Amino acid sequence: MSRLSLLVSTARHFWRGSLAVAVGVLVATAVITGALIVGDSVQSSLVKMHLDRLGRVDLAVVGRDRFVREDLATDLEDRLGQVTGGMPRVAPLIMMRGSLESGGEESVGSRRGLRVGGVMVYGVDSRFWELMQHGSVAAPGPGEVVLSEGVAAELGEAVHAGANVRLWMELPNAIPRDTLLGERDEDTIDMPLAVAAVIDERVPVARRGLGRFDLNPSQQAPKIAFVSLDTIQETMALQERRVRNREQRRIDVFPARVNTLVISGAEPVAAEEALRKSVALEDLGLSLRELKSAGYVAVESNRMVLDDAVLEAVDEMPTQSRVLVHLANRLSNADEPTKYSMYSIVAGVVPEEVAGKPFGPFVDNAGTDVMASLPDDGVVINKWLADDLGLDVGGRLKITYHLVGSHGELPEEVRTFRVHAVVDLEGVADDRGLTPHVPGITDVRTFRDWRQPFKMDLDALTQRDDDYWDDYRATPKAFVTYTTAVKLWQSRYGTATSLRVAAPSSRENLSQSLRGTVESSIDLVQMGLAVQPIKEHGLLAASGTTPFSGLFIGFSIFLIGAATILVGLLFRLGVERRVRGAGLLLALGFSPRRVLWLLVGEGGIVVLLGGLAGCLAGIGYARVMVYGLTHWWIDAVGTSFLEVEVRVGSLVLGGVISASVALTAIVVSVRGLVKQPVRGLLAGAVRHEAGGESTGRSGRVCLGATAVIAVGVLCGVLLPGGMLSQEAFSGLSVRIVLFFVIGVSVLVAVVALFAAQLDRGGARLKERGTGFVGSAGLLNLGLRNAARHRSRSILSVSMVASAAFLIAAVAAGRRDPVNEWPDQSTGGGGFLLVAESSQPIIYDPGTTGGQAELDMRAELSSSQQALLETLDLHALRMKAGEESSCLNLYQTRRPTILGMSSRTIDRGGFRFVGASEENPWKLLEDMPHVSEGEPALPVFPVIGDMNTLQYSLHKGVGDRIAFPSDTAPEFFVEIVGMLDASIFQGVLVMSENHFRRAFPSEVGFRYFLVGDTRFGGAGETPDGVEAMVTSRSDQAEFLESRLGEYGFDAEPIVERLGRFLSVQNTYLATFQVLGGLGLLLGTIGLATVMQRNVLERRSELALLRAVGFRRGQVRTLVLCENALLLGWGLAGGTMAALIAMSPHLASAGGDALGLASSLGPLLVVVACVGMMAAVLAVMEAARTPVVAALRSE
Amino acid sequence: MSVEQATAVTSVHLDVRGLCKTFDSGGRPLDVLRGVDLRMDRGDKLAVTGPSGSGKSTLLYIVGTLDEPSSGSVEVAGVDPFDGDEQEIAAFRNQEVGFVFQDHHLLPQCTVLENVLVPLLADGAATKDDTIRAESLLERVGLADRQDHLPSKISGGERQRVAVCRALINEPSLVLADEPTGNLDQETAAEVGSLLLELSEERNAVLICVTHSSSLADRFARRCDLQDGVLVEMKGD
Repeated sequence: MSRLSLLVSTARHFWRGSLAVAVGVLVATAVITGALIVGDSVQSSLVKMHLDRLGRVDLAVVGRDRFVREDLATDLEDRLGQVTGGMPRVAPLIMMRGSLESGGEESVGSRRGLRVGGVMVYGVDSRFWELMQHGSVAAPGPGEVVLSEGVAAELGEAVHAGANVRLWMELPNAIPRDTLLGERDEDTIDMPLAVAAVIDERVPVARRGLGRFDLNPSQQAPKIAFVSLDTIQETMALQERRVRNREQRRIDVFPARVNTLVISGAEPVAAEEALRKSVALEDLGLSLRELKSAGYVAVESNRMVLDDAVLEAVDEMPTQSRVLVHLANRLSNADEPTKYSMYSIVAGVVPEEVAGKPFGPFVDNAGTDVMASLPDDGVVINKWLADDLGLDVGGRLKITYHLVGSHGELPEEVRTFRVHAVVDLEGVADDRGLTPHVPGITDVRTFRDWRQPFKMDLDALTQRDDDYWDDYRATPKAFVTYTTAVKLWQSRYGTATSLRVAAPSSRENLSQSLRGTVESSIDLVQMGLAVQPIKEHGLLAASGTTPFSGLFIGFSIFLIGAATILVGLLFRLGVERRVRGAGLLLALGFSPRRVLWLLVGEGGIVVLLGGLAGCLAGIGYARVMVYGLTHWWIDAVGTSFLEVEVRVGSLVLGGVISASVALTAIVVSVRGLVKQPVRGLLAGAVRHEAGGESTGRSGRVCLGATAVIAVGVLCGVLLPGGMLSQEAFSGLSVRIVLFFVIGVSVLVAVVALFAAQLDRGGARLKERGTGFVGSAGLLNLGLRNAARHRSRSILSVSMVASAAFLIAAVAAGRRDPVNEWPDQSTGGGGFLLVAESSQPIIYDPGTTGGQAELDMRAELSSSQQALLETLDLHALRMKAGEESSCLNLYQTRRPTILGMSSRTIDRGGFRFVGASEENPWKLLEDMPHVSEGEPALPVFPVIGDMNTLQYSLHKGVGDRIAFPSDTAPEFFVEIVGMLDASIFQGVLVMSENHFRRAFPSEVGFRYFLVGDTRFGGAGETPDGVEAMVTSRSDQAEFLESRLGEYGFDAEPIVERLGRFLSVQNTYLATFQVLGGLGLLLGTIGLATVMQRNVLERRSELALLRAVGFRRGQVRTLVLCENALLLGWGLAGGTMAALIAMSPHLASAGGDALGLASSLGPLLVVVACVGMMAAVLAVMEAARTPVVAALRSE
Repeated sequence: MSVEQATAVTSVHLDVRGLCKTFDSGGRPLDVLRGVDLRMDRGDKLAVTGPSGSGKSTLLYIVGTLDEPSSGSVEVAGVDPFDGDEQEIAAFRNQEVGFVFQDHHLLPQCTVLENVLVPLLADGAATKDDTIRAESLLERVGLADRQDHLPSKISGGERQRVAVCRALINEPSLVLADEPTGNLDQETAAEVGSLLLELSEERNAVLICVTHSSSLADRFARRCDLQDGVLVEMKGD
């Protein structure tokens, strides 16, 4: 015989008691293991979803606004094949954002169809299709579109296979729209398409794969339209074209273009290497212009301005000359304004670079190098201009030119220069190569043929202007220093319009060697052609997903807590029933510690068995939870593609955690037992703490807690709202800290008051039977019965009260933002609408000028006129990134960035967490500083939403995020402020000035906040909700119709906030349900305690019967006792929560009605179940035969 | 100094001097034992009698280290067990003391044989030799054919005989019996009393038996009455 065999036989002998304990362990284990399995399932489902979505695609090269040759795909595939030896595949596609409208040709002009904005449009061919899981869905043919089910659903029932739709997209333009020569007006294009297929549940394979294709990881079904690549290319003039080059007198061949390549079967490093070797100048939008007569080759960009990366790439090449040209609207004699010359080119050159051949020297009649001594405020003009304007050395030349404002406007600037020298229009001064080739401008015959990038004053043109154009075209008429040119005309895209390179000796090879140098040494990442390991990114993002394991353990904490208390309680009750055995072992010479370990060992066996069963039950629990997530709580995950994944590691971990918790509960419950006198134990008596003595202590605790509540409530009432929102510590606001302080204090007071009542009852019993006088006699007897096992009773009440507290607090925490008045200090910032456009809008629709440019002020009705007067529209720039709101389960690293103008910054508003500044938005305007380390990079301040920062990005104030990637950062953003429950979930906000520096290629505005000057002031009272709602819908209708071609899509700000909050509210609902289960378990524990009490007092109850109590009276007595514990716990916990949440409930966002409807039934159910469990105990009490019970005493 | 070594030096095995025990009774001290003196040699057998509440069991529990004296000393073979810590006191009790209670206190989950072996588990596991010893003890008390039965399957007298075997399994030098026949009928009580006396005699152990039964007390060589908290030796019985 050994101790183990003793343990086993003990556990077996008392299996009934052990079974109850094992069930408790089973519940705890099932809940913990289930939570872990839910976490695993979400994670593995996200991985699977990502793999399904990408099909065979591993990598992507996304050019966005940079269009590369379609043939680059073939070149890259061939080269990759050589490098890897495998069967890599590269598919070209065009990836752009657009909007769709139901109805095809017939709806043109009417705009009556349903419209969906923000659709990802992919121009694809069979090469892409083969890489996807497409099932039976065929690739779209010419003029066809394949839609994802989300798009089809939004377009309405009329859209199905065979229906017609219209697609609106931004017209790609090589020259950025917000530069002088960029295209501003014809910036969108629409095409009628026939729906070839809708990827819905009828094609499950495609629905999981192709239908969710997205380079960014998100579990939300994306809005997708697949169009034939040829169709998109032809519509956008991106197909292969042959164009006559009049200037060069040849036919230029423009290859077909795409802006994205997806790669299958290759590693990132190999792909980067192969891309570098395959990429040609044409892919970078660069061209070489050979000027044989001038003896050099000019590097030019189809964007007109060269990226800095180009200058860096050819930095090593000898004999170069940088040129920055600008179009002057008018050159005039400052002293004789009637003498002018229209639309002339002014060039900035570096004097040192044009000192010698082939770029210089520029000499005057005396043969002096005039450039060498050109001051920054001086200008060198050619003889032709000097004659035209009657200028000579020392005269003053006025240059009038457009600048491009940040909001698309073209303010005219005037600068006056002193004429430093006049050079003959020959040799280096007669060089057309100084001005880059701009299709539609430099290659047309007359000024009147210009593709007018802005409204030109053609009437002011003179014959002399036409003559010059005929003879010299865009040859510069005036020269300034490069420094001056950069100061006046540099754009954020670069500082040179062309780079001229001369051959040191052999001219024949110059183009070839220049091409080789640029292609081999240019920074492709800087040029926007990075190889992105999208499959790997997604897998990484899936592993860093929202921690569902932790979330569900958190949600189930009361279930686990209740199960744990139950385990301790039941085990203790079990041991108490055979306490003589423990006494005997002590008498036989077992040390107390050994007896304790024997008891714990016995508990261990039970825990082991319960844990094993719990692991199995956990799988079932996880299935229920995953079912819940995909059906009842789908708002929290936004996908029904979750599958249960059981990992052995999680089962073991869940088992170990719950076993540790249960064993701790067992140790705590029996620890005191072995310290009791052996004689008492042998006699079967367990010493319970007596009441009475602690009456004073309970009373003091109660008083202290009441004082804390009073102070807390006073703080809540008296402190201004701003201070309540401030951070108390660790990111917790004063409001939240107050909630917990008040809530816990009320809870403590409730339990202490109960303890004091028990003590008072017990004390009174010792004196006289005064409590039994009157009708409350039976209740008092019940109270005194409860006082007999003080800790048991207090534990039960605490358990029920805490669970009720949390459930009630959670229910009270639900927010209904739809009812929130647009106050400037709320999450919506006082705005009514939030909108996004599929295509960027160059002009600011928030300004009168911008509205005029966008035709928003044309043909206005009187109501529209009135609407415009109160319209308060704020346009923000947007750099699209990963979806980082709580709607995305994947962990994101590079969220969308918004650029906020100083007007919006000055307006302020929204609710900040822990900011002390009057207008924390001003922090965005702080000058960027540079990062530590090499190389020092700029750090731009940003503000984000607390939920996004904490849960999605795992960042806090002071943290930084590298852009565009961690491995090759170009700049950082540093979080300087956090917003509370704001509309800016999922994005980071930067000042517009910084935005333009950080993302020079992002053009125009794509994100809009729309308000009404009549509403939305801080602290305004709701006195015109109807007017506000009417204004909101009028605004949306007006803006969507006027800006429809940009895919302007507006929605009430409260609805978007509601969507964000629905996730939070869904989590709260989950928590509530699981907390409710915990409460239920707590009431079962309470019933067990009651039953145990009844069993222990069988003889007493029999005695009551013996002295004449009726069965009914005995039943009532026991029910009173149970009702007292249950009622006190439920009422106390609920009251504590409601008091603590009262400020929230009183606010506009509080949902008192929702609270009553969700909390009420739950509490009623719990009370009923608790009382029904007590009925079992009552039946037991009433059933006991009187004589047998008395004899057992 | 071990008990064996101490025994070699002095013949007095149990030496109780000036033992007092005071309980707190509703805030007032209640003196139960007021200076008990008792000396016993190996093989001595003493019956302690006295009215209910006189402190007989208290004296027994203090001698058996289940309770602590308020003052005075207890020495077994020259060693005061209360000098040790909790572990040492437990070990002393396990090795030197064998208890027989009025209620048998058999573990319901263990068989008769296992119940006898339980004390051995305090210091490890029972060996084969231990089992043979337990079997021979059970045979000695006439329960050889009952050793695989559970306590619930045997009679009250048999249960108390098992309890006697359990008290003796570690061959203690001190056997303490608290009303060992209190729950038994006359015939069975006589049997159990005889077994206690015989087995203690065979093992040369000190036997102290607290009893209300004068017929059992009469069979003891020494008999003391606990009167007003003091042991009074009854002579000539």
